Amino acid sequence: MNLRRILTGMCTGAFAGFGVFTIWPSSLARWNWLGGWLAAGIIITTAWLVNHYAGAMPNRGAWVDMALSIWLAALLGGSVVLDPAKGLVRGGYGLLHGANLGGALMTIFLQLVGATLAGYLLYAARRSDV
Amino acid sequence: MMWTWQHVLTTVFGGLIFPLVVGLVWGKLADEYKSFGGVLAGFFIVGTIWLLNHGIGLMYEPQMNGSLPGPWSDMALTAFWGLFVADLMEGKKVDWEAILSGVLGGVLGGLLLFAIV
Repeated sequence: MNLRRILTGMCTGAFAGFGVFTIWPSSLARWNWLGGWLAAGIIITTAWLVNHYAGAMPNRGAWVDMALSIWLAALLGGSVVLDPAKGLVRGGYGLLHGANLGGALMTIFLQLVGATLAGYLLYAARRSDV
Repeated sequence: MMWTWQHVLTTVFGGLIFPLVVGLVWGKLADEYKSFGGVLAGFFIVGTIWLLNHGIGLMYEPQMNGSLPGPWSDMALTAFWGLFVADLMEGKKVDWEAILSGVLGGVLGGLLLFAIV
């Protein structure tokens, strides 16, 4: 355990999580679905360069993607929209606001089912690759 | 508002397709074009699959209706979990430094989102 490496990853992970749930809803509100597509390039790309290309998020074992920080940030803190007409407003609420985790549990469970299947397919694809 | 088998099917598929495409394509793009490969991947993998999962709404999130909409479970969860599981199956070890970084990053990001407005 290297504390400085963890602190660096914490800051750059928070950058990804905060960036996604401010820029994405704002871009969506401003430019509709094309804004949603562009938002991925604007924030995911930059956060990937920092976290995974430059390697600020430590990764020596099974891959831990910055996506973990992104998911958790919205779950806890919700989302924020820079609306073209109304200015900075709240988009969604998180656990920190008292939102009920129970409402999201079914979605979380089914997402994990799909992702586990994908993990297996990736593992199988890599094995037949080599 | 209620879950139906249609919602179950689309949500599971949405959760499957994101990590699968990321795992199959992202590394190849980064190998071929280095940092620019990540730029392409950001737009053409995450942007395009976001349109399907959250723009169109393959992933059903009924909790976003009502007076206190939330909490949002982003498709990011599937990218993390799918890639992590694939590596575990391959025999790679859990890196607690990485897990802790990711979780603390999420907590700090969530606090910032909570604090700003």
